[in-house]
Amino acid sequence: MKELQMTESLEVRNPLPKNDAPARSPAQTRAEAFMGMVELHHQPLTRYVNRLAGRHDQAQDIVQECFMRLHLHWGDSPIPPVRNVKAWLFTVAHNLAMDLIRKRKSGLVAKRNLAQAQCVQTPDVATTFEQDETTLAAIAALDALPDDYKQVVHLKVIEGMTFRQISKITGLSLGCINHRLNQAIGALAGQMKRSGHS
Amino acid sequence: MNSQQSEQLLTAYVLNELDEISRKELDEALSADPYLRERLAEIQKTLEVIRNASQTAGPGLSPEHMDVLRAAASNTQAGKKKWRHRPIRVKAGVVLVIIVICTFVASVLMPGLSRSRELAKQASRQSDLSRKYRETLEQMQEPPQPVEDRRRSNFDEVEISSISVAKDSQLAGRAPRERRPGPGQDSKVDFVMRGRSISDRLEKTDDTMRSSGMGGNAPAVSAPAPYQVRGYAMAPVLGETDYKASEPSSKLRKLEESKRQIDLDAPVQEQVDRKSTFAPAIINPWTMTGDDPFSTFSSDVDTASYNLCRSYLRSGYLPPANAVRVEEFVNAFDYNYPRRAGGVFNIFVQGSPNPFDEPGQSTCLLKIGVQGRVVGREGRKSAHLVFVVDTSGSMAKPERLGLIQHAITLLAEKLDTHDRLTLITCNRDASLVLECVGGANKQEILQAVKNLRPGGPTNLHAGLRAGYEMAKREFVAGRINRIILCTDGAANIGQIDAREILTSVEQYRNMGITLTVAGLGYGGYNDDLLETLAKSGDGNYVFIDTAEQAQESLVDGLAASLQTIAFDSRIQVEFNPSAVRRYRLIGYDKRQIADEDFRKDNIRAAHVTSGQSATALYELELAHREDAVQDNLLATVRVRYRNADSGKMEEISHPVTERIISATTVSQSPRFYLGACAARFAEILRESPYARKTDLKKVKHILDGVCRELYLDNRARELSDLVKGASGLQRAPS
Repeated sequence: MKELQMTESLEVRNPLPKNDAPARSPAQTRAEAFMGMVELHHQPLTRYVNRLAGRHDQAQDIVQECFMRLHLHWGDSPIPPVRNVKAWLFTVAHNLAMDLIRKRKSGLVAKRNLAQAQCVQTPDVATTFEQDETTLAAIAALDALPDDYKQVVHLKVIEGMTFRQISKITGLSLGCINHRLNQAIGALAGQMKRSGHS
Repeated sequence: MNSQQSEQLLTAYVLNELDEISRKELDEALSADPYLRERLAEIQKTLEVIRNASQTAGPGLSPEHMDVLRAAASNTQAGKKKWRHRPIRVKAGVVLVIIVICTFVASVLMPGLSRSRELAKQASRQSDLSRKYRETLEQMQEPPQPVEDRRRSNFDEVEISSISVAKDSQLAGRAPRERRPGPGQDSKVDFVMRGRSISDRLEKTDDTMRSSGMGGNAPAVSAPAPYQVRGYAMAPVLGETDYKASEPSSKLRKLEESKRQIDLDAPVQEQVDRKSTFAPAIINPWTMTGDDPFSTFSSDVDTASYNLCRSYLRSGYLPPANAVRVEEFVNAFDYNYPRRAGGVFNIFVQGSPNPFDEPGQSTCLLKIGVQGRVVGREGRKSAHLVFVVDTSGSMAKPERLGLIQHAITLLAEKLDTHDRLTLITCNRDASLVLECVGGANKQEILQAVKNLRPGGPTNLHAGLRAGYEMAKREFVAGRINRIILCTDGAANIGQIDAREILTSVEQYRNMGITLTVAGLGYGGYNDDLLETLAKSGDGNYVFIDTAEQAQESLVDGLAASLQTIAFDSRIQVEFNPSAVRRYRLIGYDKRQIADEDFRKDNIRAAHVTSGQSATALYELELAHREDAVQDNLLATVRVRYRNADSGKMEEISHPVTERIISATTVSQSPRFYLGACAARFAEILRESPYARKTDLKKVKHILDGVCRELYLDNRARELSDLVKGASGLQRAPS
């Protein structure tokens, strides 16, 4: 039986991945560096939390809370407090989103929000962007996945993170991540076929 | 392999999560199996659809959310954060601290209040007593004792205590390493009280007495001129010391006595060079071998003093006397010690009659060289260099920021893929320009360096703080983690900031983050602080004034310094009292270590890098004996250090016999005479009493002979030119 051999992540040795490093020209003060991080990461973060939480307004609150926590941890210099800010933010966002989902499942979320929470696709996406049927079908298929599978697909396929980074964010093992991805991709492909999109 | 495993392998393959070997194996399998290829294509297609569907970024935070974050980011007060966001343990800790402070303040104030009440009562009792005393005396018809007499006697006591305090603080300002606090001890930083004459102290005491009601109109007391060696500037630097002097050693007592012998009545030179700041000079006196046969010092040697003084001389001025450090002049030259294989250090000793003896004098010079081994390229560790570059307005000159840009550009060529470079600029605030960039990204480094622009005030504190945070965040054990501070001075730094910086530097040094300081320019140049920073940071201190110096110090020197061979290196010379009557160590005044601390492992001393050497000169007066034999032991030279590879303390020793003192000529030992001339020239510039009678012409004459022998040595010729040009120059203006 051939064992799956994952690549060793070189995260520890390599400098920050290029897509995480904000532009550093001109030189930045602390406030500029922080807002640079906000500009760089707020959209993908909101997208991810939206996918998990299903509500855009709650997703925005969670993302704001993530950045406020980053601000609190940030010292007085322009040096970010953590090496991989993106992974740190996604970890915090993931945990907050999971907390929200757990509260929702246990009925702690206010009843007046329940109807909206059941809505999977946010109206903003459909009204703001023109999308063809295949795209809509893909989004619908993705949103229909269980949360555990949805998050790994989103982090790997859409955000482009490595297995090791996903493992740090979600707490899952590398093998588990690969397994879920594989299962999710199979489910997505099946769903797309059933909806008539090859 | 079953189908599920092959599916997972295909997924990992598409997502670039397979290692090279597995990837190659799967490539082979794919080429042989069309079904696998078909499955691979399906997976790729599905992923492509998902990616395309999510390509649009989608909405992020609303403008309201962004405004909240922007407001939080622009809140410039350091550390101001919402109380409710703090963890509970932090809140509890803050409350506890407040309670402790209030308790402490109350305990201090209450006695103070009661004391002032007591003083007031005492004052009124005294005035009552005085009145009654006068009345009684009048009744007895005896002449009253003037009240002024009592006040004068009080004043005399104050005067004496002021002098002793001034003495202590002068001594404290030149505290040798023996007084540095060890690990776990109080790490207060010593700053010498400067610029306050005795009369200042007396005036203040008079005011204090007057306000407490004990004094009256005290008679004017002419303060004695504080005794100093003539020519030493007492430029105000950083404020008072709270240093508590321990019992001064015999050497320090001798220092004090030597000052008395030199020039007690010299007026204080108050106006020399207030803008640039140098520590008060100190000169090692003669020591009787019978009293103290041991001479112990740290072997670290910087080169900033020689380069700085050279700048002054080339500009047509004599450097400030305090700027001259004799050992740095001696060590600015290459003595060509053989680099022998084996061992971390080798010791070389040479002696000869002193060429600068006056008529009637008979001394000799003993030159001790300690040569470190050379580490090859394969022995070099990877490094994370954090450059903190002062980009204030004063750095706008080409010989300042331009030199640093040039040096970093050259240094970038010497970095390899395992090295990292961070660039932080500081003017009003600190800014991060390059963050832990790999040594292979040379273009990125060059572009960032090229874009540096000067302007604004200097905020060294912010720059160093940012640099240390970065170094700490990226700290890797076993790698060289170093901050390189490049600045033209610290004119904007306050007393509190300087203390905080030095405390931080020492703390980070204990973590393994060292600090090298590169100084540029003069006028507003704080040599004392920069030297103290480098000493506290276990790094070296260089002064850069030319492109060649930038190449030598910042590029070649820094590259070489990445290969450390020893830590905490110190030298001890034990003289034989029957062979040496007395001795004088020339230079190393601020690098003295207590003799009993030579074998203490926790004593911080020199950090030695590959190929580095240290040279020390002693002036000796030999004991005349009838039965003198050349093989008699003259001295034993010991070097003790921590081996950088093994981490263990090691010690080597080298006996020196009287045979070593042999008359040589300039042509036979040109490098010996080169060192002697460098030392004597430095002592002349420093206005040392031991060089007072030496003429520059004599130094020049000997150097001419040296240059003839060492015709390829540009540095020797440079020294000769400096000596020649020094005649007739005035001291640098204030």
